[in-house]
Amino acid sequence: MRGGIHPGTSPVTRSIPSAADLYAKGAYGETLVRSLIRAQLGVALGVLLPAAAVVITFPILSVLLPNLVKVTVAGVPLTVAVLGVGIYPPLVVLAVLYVRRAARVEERFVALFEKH
Amino acid sequence: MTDTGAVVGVVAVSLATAVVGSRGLRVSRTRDDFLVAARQVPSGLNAAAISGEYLSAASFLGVAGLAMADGVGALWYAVGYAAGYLVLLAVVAAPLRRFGAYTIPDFAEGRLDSPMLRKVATGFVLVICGFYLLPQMEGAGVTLQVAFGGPYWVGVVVLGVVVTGAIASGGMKGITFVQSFEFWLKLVAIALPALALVAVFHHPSLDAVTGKAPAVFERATTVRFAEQTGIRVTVPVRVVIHGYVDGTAHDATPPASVELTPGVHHVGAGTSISFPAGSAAPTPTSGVLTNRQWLSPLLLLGGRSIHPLAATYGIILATFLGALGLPHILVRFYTNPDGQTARRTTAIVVMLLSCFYVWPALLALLGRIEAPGLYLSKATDTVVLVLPRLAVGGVGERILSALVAGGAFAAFLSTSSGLLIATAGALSHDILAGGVKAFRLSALGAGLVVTVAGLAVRGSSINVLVGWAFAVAASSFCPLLILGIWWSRLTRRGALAGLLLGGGSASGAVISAMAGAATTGWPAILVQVPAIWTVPLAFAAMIVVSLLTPRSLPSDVMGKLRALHLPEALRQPGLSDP
Repeated sequence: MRGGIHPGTSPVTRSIPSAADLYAKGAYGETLVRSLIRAQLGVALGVLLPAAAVVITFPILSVLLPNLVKVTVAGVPLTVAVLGVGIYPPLVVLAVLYVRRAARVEERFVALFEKH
Repeated sequence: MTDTGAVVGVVAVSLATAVVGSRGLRVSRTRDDFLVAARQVPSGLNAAAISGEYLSAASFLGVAGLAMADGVGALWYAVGYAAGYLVLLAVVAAPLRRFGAYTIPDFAEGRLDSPMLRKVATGFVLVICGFYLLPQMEGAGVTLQVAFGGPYWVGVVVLGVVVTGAIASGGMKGITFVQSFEFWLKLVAIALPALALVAVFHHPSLDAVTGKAPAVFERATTVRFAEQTGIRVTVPVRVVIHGYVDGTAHDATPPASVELTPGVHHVGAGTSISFPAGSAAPTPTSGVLTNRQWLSPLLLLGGRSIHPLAATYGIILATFLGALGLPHILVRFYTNPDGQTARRTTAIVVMLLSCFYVWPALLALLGRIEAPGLYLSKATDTVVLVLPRLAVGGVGERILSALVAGGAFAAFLSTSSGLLIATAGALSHDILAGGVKAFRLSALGAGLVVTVAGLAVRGSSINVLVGWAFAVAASSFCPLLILGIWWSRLTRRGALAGLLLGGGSASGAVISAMAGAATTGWPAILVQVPAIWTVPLAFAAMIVVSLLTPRSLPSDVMGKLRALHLPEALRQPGLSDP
């Protein structure tokens, strides 16, 4: 009698899938699994694309602005500051963000199968 | 010229490894114990162990040395070594752990039902481990050379014997603890000297890098010229010479000082020149970058500006995508209890590596300013080892020397033991089809081969050699893992085509580069930074051939995708795949 206990909802609602559906043959389980994969791929690209953008831009920037090598930050040459130190904190932030987001996607997916 | 501090450091690290490694002997009996330490390692410890295993000679010595020689652009290697774990985290960490295969060949066979694919993958495990082990051996040779002043082969043989012995007797149970300890050792061993140097140098100014002043010998320094070198002197300086300068022999006893006048002088091979403290350092007439070149954020191959943008992107591709295809690293992910823990562990690894790589960058900068003699003796790869001696005296110098030599040796030990486990695992399981005895024999055999080969690679840049191992991994296992995990239409033939084309052409390019095939123009880029074409080639081949051969799709792709991606909570024993 899943799904039928809330007032106002149809007694024949099949909106809560069971874990068995995931393993059953047929399009329904496959769609569920693929939706999870797509969501996780989105999370992965969500951190990889910003990282790629930075990494691809910086070398080009140095070609477009040849005087970049003369810039100093608090006495330290900019290129040393960026490639030696500055690039790492964003990397760590992206890693932490990814772990949280991926866990959230999984929790939500698992919650789909919980009986209310 | 034996450096007692360094000797103590190396001996202590070797003993610690042998002792802790042999403790594992009693508990490791089955293949599971040997290969994945029974899957019960907590996240923080595991992350330190992964980082400890990963930080190799390239990270500890190579990055600082290459950046000192070829400029700031070489720091892309370090950035890529760390960022590779972000890629690994986002695309393979959790799914691979959930899939439950031990090694990349296991994954290849399990995902695509192809014993043939397994054999090819095993072949590439051996190739990548081989390319990666050579620079570790070279690093050990160079380190002991600096420490003992003895011949190069001593370090290579010592490392070969210690590692092979530890692996053949202990397996990985002991090694997990050694590896995590070695991470912290390496971090302290590189950070402490760097901090001490910053504090100690009399002129902590960046003028020598920004071009306002010439580099100066901080202390009295004797430079030994390994080969014939032209040097440019800007300020006259009185020096003591042993050997030949400008065709004149200098070997007076007692040694008399000679004035080097401004201009270019030709120094003969084997000559040593002693410079007084505070004198301006001459620069070699060739092979040393101007400050402007040195500060460029683009990779200069061998210090030369050959299509630098392409070279930079090639190294970025190889290092960002290569980490996830390293055979010795993946096996560690099975020591995480579940997928989410695998993610947490990997994120901690990104953090730990980020804390590490700022130091080689700082040491490269300090080397550029404070160790101009290394440019003259062409020994920039030893900058991490030599810097403490240049600045600190007395007990402090000995402690720091012990620390860097110990840290360096820890780097060779941990990485080469991980690689040797992966090699011996692949050999014993996939080729000999044997158990623990075969594993031990394989470890002995592989250790012997690599030690001998290590004697032959003397003089190559450690970091460049490691970069090549990454290029092969990025062109073979990286596309296999990414497409295998995220793309349901990958077929057996597609995977095979991609592995063979991508990995094969990358290996070919690396071998040609080792043989010195192309050194100028685009051919140099194509063989020395092969990832720029072999990675796209591997992906393209896998995708196109897969689309053309839908009949070689493995059976039950959905079942495999479920195994890769479903969270543990949704796995039901009665329902899950067999």
